[in-house]
Amino acid sequence: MAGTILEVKGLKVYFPVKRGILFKKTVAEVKAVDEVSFAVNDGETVGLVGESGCGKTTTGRAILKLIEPTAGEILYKGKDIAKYTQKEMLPLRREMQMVFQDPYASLNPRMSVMDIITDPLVEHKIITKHEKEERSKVLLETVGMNPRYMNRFPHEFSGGQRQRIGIARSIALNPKLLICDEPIAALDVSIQAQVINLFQDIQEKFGLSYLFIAHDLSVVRHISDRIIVMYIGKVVEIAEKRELFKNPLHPYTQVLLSSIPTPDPKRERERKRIELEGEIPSPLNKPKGCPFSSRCPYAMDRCREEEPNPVHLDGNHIVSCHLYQK
Amino acid sequence: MTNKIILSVKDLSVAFHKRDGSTYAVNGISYDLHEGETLGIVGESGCGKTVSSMALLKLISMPPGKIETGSAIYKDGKDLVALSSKELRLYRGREIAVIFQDPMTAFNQVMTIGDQMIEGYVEHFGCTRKDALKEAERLMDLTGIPAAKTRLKDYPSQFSGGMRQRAMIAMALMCKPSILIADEPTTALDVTIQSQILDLMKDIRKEFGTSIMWISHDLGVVAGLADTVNVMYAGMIVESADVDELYYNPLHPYTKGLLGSLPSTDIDNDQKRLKSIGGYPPILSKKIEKCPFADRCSEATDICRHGCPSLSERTGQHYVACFNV
Repeated sequence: MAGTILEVKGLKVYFPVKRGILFKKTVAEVKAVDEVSFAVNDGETVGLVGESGCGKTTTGRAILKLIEPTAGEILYKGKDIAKYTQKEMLPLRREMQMVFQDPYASLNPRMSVMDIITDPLVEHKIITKHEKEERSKVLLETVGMNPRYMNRFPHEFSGGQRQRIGIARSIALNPKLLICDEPIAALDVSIQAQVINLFQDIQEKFGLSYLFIAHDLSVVRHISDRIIVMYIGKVVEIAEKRELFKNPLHPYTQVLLSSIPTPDPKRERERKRIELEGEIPSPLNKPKGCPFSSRCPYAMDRCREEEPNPVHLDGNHIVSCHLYQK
Repeated sequence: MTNKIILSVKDLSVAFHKRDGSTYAVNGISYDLHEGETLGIVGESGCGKTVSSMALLKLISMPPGKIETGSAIYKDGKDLVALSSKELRLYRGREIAVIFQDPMTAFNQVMTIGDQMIEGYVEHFGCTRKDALKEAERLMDLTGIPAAKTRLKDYPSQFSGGMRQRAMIAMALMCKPSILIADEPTTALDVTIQSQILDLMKDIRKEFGTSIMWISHDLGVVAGLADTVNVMYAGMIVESADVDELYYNPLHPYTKGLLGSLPSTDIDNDQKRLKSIGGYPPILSKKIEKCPFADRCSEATDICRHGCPSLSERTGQHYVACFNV
């Protein structure tokens, strides 16, 4: 792994909460993503995990500027694209693509498969209309689908096949970075394995980097090189996957890992879950200090007052917790 | 878990006949549920796990749904399939209660949680509202909802997802049913909340001795909770065994494939590729005439493509529907 393809520094995405009918006033802010920093290296798969509402999807979308970031830097190959206009973004969109969660909602039902997967190529004027058929054939074969299907419409396909079509569209432009937002969450177990294998094949073939957003930790563990854990808008821990699973440092990561059910009855019966009180606080009224302080079994006075800064430990292990503050 | 059979389902088939074609959702399934047993029903979407369970209480829309064949003998000797909807009312909620998948939509949005909880209780036992509310408060407390008394007056929208699922469980327990049908009750929840709900279910099982039918696609969740597991595919039970036996010694190629396609749980295992089952599940627009898994099965032979295997016992209490086992 040579260079860094993507670096996010202090990314913030705030959504205003407005009240009033005529003169709408901003009465509060939802800090969906708050001071998030991380990097993705060339050819690397970085998993981004957390529970619903933790800001993982918003982070992914903000990187592609599908949501305007409030503050912070997004360095793509060293250039800060956070302030780019949509027009300036256009050439970059060839290199950064997204795979969406819901294969039922993310394909236009009125377009044929051929039109869907070659649309990016036509839009970027890479191919002419006459070359569409040929390109579709190659793309469909790459994602393991029969090219004969190119004139069919999305409703004729199952969830797994639709996700393959979505992936074909994302790789049509030969991107360098793929942001995958829960790409397998809507699929059945036996189909999940097919799609995960496809992601890995494509990565090997095209040397892609992935930011793989998911809530299913066993899948993330399988596919990722490094893993980022988020909790209500904050990054709480980043580590190489083996390190994270063997030596989780942040109390939230420990709870999260102990909650994964394993398909092994004996281990399941013996496993000790770490009990966690209460539920995730609303991002509208986050606890003061550390966001996890309201549920953390180790919370000290300091945690409720002061937000922890990321601590860099040995072996590229980053944790935001006062327990590890020197 | 005792040896007393509380519900015996025989040859149950359910189909949906619509103008644009039929769907044969459940194709002749048979199983017994014992007292205090937790039966895991696993399978992928469209395999008939929900339809087969909901059909027991006729909680599927009929028509287009129709129970084609079969019986479901409850412990009192009555066949639930033969009962009219009116007669079934005595069983719904009272004897067999359901915990639905989606706590966001399963509640009536314009009734308070308390009113919804006591509705069935008052109906079945004919007691006063006050007594019913007291019982509701006790169960909300038991399922871990703080400030139960005031929260009974809240509307579902004022509850978070995890709390709603707790309220749903409390509601299902109101009439002390003998059987709880839990239809993917933790699928819509986050993992940390899911693990809280699973612990709660284990406590409930201990306290009430309820038999549970746990419908899920998550093999991890079922491993920790079930005593016995039925694996369903294309509306059939393809394998049924004790939970340890099923996970450590799966016999049906589909069960093997399903367990094999999960990412390894061992962090030191540097598995590069996942094993996957090729192809897609069949569309159930015709009656099943051959093994429904034959097209995806690596061990399929000619016999599989010409006849449909039935569920039969191999070793003690391990049932498989496959010609090649």
